[in-house]
Amino acid sequence: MPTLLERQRGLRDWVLAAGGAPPLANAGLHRDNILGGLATVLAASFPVLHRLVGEACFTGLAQAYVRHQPPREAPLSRYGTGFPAWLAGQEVARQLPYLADVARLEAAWTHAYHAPEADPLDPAALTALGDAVEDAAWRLHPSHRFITSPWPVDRIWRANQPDAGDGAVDLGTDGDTHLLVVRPAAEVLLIRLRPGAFALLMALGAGLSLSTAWNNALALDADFDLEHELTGLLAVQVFTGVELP
Amino acid sequence: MGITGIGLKARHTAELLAGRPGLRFLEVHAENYMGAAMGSGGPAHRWLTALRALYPLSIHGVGLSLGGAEPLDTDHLADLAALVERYQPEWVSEHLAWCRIDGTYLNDLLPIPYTTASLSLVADHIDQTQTALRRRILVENPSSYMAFPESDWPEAAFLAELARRTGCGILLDVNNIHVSAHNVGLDAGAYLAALPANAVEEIHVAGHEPVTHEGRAVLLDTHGAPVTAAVWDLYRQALTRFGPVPTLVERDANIPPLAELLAEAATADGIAVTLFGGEVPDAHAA
Repeated sequence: MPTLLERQRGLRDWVLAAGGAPPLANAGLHRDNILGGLATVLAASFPVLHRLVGEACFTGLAQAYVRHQPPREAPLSRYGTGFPAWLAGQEVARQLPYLADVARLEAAWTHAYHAPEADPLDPAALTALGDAVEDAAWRLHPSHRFITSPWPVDRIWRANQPDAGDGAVDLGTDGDTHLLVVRPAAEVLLIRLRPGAFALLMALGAGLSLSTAWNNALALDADFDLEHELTGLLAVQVFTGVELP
Repeated sequence: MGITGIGLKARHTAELLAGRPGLRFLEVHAENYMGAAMGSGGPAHRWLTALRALYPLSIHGVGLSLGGAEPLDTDHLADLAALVERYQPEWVSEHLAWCRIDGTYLNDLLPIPYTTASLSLVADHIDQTQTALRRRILVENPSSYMAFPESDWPEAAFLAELARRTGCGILLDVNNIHVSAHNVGLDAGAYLAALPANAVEEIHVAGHEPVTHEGRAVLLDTHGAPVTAAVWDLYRQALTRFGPVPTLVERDANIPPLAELLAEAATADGIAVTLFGGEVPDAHAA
């Protein structure tokens, strides 16, 4: 008789392989439950992708991904972090070139949804710094993610929400789409930023000072208006702290 | 107050908070609130915190792999301990099953052969869990489709011995007994009689569906349909033997409107009232 370890490795190998004789009668019920269950988990995390390619195509992709990269932990909220990168190498992503970037946006949304809570920056702390604010380091909300794409992935995402109509999405853009995904309170926000504001926030998120970040923004956008953009970013509560080095 | 609780589903959250129906407890799957870098915040935790202020909680793990041949995942166990510390549930439960091997997680509750060697292994894992959580846990009987030729313990005797060795309680899923009885040939009545009368601290009832797999008729434990008459009969037998044990109406697929779940909870409470007297709360009479 096989040992318990041999039993368990044998079932795992059979479930993740495509084909072969089942190790015991009815093992197929467990295989179907595992693969079907994980495809359902991925469909819940990537609903727009699911809608764009359809049920049959999505299930095929999801089950292929499960066999390529099965979960490494029981909480499944993070499962599928590697799905967008894997998807980029599949044939369907060559046919629909925006698909992998839409998937990256959905992975960012899921990250933001489950991220830890953090209190927003107190405006008084900013005022108290005075001119020293130029040298200060800024902390961004732990839920934040940055997405850049040559496609208008935010428009694609919004047009494929359950409550959206059937309107066609204009895929034309004048340059890259820069998005901030953040969940400062209960709701996940999806915010399109101008290139200068995006560069500023990326630099602040990397720990650079406001004066350096400002120069980065000006390098991309000569008309960059720091006060205007910073006011907008403060209003969406993407910052959680500001402190002198 | 009756003896029945329901599983917490996101779509019912607002209605539960607004209507506060009379329920003995709410049950959640531990893993939906866990995860190393994520999982500590967000809407799910906000809702659970609000509901925890209104109802006792049962935290039901599906991912610890008590029956796994490899050592328990100590990161998972520490995460579970933190969740239990945060929400202070009335019960913590897990399954007599495995789901993890060589670090790969298979999202199913996979059965183990019942041997003297597997008994020692599972007992050690339960001891380790109870030590880490600093409390007793309840262990649930699985639904079985596969029969292992090397099994030489009846499942009920195996569970009873686990409870005796580790001091754990038993979460008795009467739907799983019914499903397993059909699929692998258990005697449901003998099963109930073989369990110690004082070890059963929670009961699950759920729906199943008949399917045909490779030419065989199988009962599939889907948690996706109403509880059947046969399972309510077995539930009545279980209450008769074990007393008015807190009971979960379990539904994880085809989630119906809240009123339908509350009506099923009222059915369970009604059976308890018939057997033991008392009143069913009005809130259940949906």
